[in-house]
Amino acid sequence: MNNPPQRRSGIMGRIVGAAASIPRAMERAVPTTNVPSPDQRRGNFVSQAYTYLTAAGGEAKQLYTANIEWSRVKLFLETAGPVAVAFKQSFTPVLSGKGDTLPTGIWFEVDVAKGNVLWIASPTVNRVKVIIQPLPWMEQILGGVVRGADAIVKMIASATGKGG
Amino acid sequence: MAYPQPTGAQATVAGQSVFRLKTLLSSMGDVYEIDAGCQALCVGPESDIQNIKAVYYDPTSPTGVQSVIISPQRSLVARLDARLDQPYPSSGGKLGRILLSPADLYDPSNQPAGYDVANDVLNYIRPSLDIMAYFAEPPSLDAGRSDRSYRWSAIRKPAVGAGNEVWEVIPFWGRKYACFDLLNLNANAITVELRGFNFPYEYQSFSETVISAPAVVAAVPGKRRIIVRAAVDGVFDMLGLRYVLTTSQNDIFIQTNIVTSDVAL
Repeated sequence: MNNPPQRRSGIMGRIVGAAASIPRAMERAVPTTNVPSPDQRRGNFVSQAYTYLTAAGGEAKQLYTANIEWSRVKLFLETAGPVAVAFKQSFTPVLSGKGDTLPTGIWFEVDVAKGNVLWIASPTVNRVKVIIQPLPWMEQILGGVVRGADAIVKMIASATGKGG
Repeated sequence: MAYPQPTGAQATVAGQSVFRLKTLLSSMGDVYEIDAGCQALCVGPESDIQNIKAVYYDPTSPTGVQSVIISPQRSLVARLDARLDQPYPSSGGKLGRILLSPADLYDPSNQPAGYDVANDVLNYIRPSLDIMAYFAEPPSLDAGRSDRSYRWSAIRKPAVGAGNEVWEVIPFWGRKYACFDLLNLNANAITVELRGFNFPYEYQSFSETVISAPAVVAAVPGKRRIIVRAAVDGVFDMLGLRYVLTTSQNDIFIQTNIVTSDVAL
């Protein structure tokens, strides 16, 4: 069943209109998100730094659920491991190759979009340094591009006498 | 075996960079567990036991189990995983912790030849097991044991009577040099003898070698020095110093200073 398209102008209207034709089951997989904006939004500035102790047994645990538009996650394994991370829960056993194993003493860095969940697993107790930094500038750049593209479309439309 | 046994997980939570297991042995059958992986494994500086066996889960081995023996001369610099998510094959569910045990022979139930259980005293100085497991690869690995020193001013008195003996048996696994300095502060002479012991695999008494035959240490201030060199006297698991009373003495004050070393002096 299709949802009626939201009223938006310009290029965003075309994008949203295309999205409205996606089946409902797939729409659920798309996280709710605001229209990209070049303006700063409160909550995008929160950083985190802590030491995470893995639980023994090899069961996957949620390390980080991305609740901001874009964030950069840095991990540093202090002990011998083995520790693996992945963006899906079913990646154990740790050494199966389905996840990424963290090297000891080397920073592991990944950019995470909103809605993604980073999972971690280890057969033993290990110390992992975690730093999570927001990347608000990615949304700002995208918002600026969208706004600029909208303005160009409107200008062209008004010059040619056709509505956008 | 020391209880409660320290765990690698505790060292990890405490923020340590190395897990050190240092404990007195009860017997050569002692088995210790490490529940944390390590990047290097070496014999600690205060270990009396020279050879230590580590058993770990290895899926590439036909039996799923692999072992390695480390010593002061050879450490293991490699990642060893403790697999708490995987049981050892055919073990009834025993999880794949790293298992450590002494590879040297030791049996404190052995008695030297001529030992009289009724009138003599036999003291085994319990050997110490010292292992260090590094969580991160160390920039350099300074393996090797420190020299060991033993010192006492008096010895435990046996049953009163001439000819009764006191044995003090000290660890000597892998050592190449020992020096015994004795100073008799008693009014009576004491006879002292030194033997080397090697434990057998089968259930029988250990083999004994007389390194220094019984000799009198004169009454105060009698002195005696005994030097043991592996190249000359042989290699031994333990050394036994035998004090023989010449009279029925009540107090036995004989200063004994001992140094053992891995360096062949």
